[in-house]
Amino acid sequence: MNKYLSLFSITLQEIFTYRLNMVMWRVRQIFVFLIPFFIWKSVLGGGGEVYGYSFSAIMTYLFGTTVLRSLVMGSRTIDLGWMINSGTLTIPLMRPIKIFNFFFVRDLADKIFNLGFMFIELPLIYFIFHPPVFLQTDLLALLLTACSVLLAVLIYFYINIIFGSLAFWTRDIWAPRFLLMVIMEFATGAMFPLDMLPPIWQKIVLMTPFPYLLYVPLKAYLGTDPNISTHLLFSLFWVTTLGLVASLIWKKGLTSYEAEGR
Amino acid sequence: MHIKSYLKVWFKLTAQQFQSQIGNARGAAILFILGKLFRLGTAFLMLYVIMGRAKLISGYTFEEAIFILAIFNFISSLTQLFMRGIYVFRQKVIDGTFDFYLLNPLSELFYSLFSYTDPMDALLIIPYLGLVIWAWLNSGYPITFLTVSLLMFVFTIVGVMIIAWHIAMLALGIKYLEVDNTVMLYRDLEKMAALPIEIYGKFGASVLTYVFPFALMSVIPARLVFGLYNPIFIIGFIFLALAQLKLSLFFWRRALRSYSSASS
Amino acid sequence: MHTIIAKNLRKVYDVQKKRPGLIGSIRDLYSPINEQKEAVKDVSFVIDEGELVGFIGPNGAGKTTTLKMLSGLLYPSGGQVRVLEHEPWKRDDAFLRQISLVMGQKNQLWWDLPAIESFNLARDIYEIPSSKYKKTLDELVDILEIKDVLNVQVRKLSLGQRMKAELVAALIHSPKILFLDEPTIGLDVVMQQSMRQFLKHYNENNDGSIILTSHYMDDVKELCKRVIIIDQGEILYDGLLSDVIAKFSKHKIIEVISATGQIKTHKVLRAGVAAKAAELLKDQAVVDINIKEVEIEDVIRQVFTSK
Repeated sequence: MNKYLSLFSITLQEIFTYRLNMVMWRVRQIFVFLIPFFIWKSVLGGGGEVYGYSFSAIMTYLFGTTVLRSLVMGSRTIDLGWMINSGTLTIPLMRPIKIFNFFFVRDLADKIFNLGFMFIELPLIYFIFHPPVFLQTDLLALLLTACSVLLAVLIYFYINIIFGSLAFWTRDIWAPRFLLMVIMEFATGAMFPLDMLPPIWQKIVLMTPFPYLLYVPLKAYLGTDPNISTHLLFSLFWVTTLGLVASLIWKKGLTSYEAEGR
Repeated sequence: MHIKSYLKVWFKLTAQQFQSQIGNARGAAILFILGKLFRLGTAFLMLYVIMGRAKLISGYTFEEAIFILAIFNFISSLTQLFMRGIYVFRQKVIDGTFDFYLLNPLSELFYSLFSYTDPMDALLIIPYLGLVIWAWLNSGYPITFLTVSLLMFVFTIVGVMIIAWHIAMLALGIKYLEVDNTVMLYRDLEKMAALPIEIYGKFGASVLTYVFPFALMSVIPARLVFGLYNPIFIIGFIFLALAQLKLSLFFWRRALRSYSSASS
Repeated sequence: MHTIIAKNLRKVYDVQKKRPGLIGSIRDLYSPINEQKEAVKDVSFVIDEGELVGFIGPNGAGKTTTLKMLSGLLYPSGGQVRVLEHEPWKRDDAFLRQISLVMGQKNQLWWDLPAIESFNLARDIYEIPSSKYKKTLDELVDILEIKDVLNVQVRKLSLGQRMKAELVAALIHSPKILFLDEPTIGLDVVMQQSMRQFLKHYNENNDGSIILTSHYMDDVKELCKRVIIIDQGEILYDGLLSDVIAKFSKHKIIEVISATGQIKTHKVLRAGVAAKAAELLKDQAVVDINIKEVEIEDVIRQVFTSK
């Protein structure tokens, strides 16, 4: 247990070392919220609805995804590809610590860091922009949200492992990563609530793992998902599937790891 | 001064990029192109979704908003095409290559900004330009020689300002060895201009016009086309652009004084 | 007019001192401790045209920092420096065209291109006239014996060949000053010897000056008549190598070889060498005798430790 705590602590120290980097990262997170805010304000600020969402509802959604992002998508495992290519992977690999646990603990450190900063930023955003905040009180909804978020964290973790593992076979890992990023921007529901899409598109998107990262957990929190149990089951399905795939790819990849140094 | 050398070197560097892409990273190039097209597609989709219900966005019609998006996309891609060097800048400083840039008779800014032009990226510029033309015609405004010349003039000015901002980011990178998040933040800011900047309020719109010149990449040229903007004001931007360039070069030279070089 | 003038050169770095532990790193965020590290404290010297000077000293002595101030990479925190009548850190066009920098293990050649492409590009950048370029290129390629690999991609060359190509690229524009930072680091013994011979030969046959830094004694022994010994940012000694020995080494070594092949060494004060030698020769078993200087490494070590 101690080694995990140390690892956690060291990862946080790493993050704090690059102050400017840290600040820039947090500023960016604020922008992620700002742009859609202004768009929707301009469209709906005067009243009215778009596909069932009033300005107030959309703001709640936006606020919610901003918070969830830090929790679900704060990750260091994105570095995996680079670690493999540069040979840096060798060091943690040789340590008496399960490698997946290693990466997961680092991710947790990143999430805690992001959450910590959010406690400062959220009040600020709230006081400047007054987004309507919905505080869920239904215990069942909260429980479902917690499950959903946990599953979301694992899904994203395994996705990162899989994409990082590509580096075992190719030097160029940025291209598939980029494509993934672009698709996720849309399919996780970060840009806009996915139920604004025509039903057929919704069905298609919900067959990918991405909506289960942000959209589904948020809907669970808001209590507005009629199919929440199905969606949770789907989340579970993705966690198991992606987890298996990640393990397989990892094992395979390790056998061709060249550990070429700098 | 040495324009010929700069052109020759740039050409060689670009050709080399092309060669290695063809040789090693065909798949990657395709993925990138797919990714960029997907991103553009979702931007259009968003506009469609939003404006499907709202007739106007800040007083612009749907067709006009599409035109703004198209111009933005074109100019943004064009400038990024030439200034890829900033993405590898940190690496070059760490591994010592930047030292060689400093001592090379050609400007180290040239190497740091322009040396990774990706010819594959250039492929997309053509359809993007086509998109601009289509959106222009679709918006119902005529394409005249005058407006095209005005636009090219505006784009040159914004090009200078963008270079100035990149130099400022490089200066930051030299001092703090932090470039990547800064560049991403810059891109986030830039993205804001893809939509009519009036939605950001008076303050936001001013910042996006006079501090960060991104409005010049989209809304202002669009308004020129729509006949809503007096071309006289562009002259003011010339001075602004030159001032920003001078300022950024000043910061750059200052930053180099505290340069500590990679250790041996 | 001296080629290089350095007066009270100083270079100070701001370094953030990190507190250990997680709490420490959080405190570092809002109240960082900044320290000043003096890499070069006070360095003064003069170098003339055609000299081959070696800066030697242990790791972290400040020799590379000094070299980088001379070549214009670093901005001096104090003092003055003039190289070829320019202030190096201004990196004027006219200045850059007359100098060259080679750094051990770092390459300025383009990785994916054949070496010749890098040379041709240098011709364009430095605006070398065609005829002069051809002549210089042929000469250098000839001496360094890399004619066969000119058209091979640099990444496919062996380390030795790469270093040779690197030297060509550095000298193709006939710089007045060649700066070398740890040029033989990481090279095998044969390659090291090769490089030293080349540099020596080049210096003898060309007008330019060569300034190098090294922490290898062999570089110094082979190449430099003049050495500047630096430690902890200050000059300990500046002068002829031969004088270093005389000044800092009070002893000489007498090696006595007996008939059985056994060798015995005696360390003797200079003044008493003749007497001691005579005394040792009286022994019938002695077949041969050698009188040597103390190894230069030992002398240098002594110089550092005495400081």
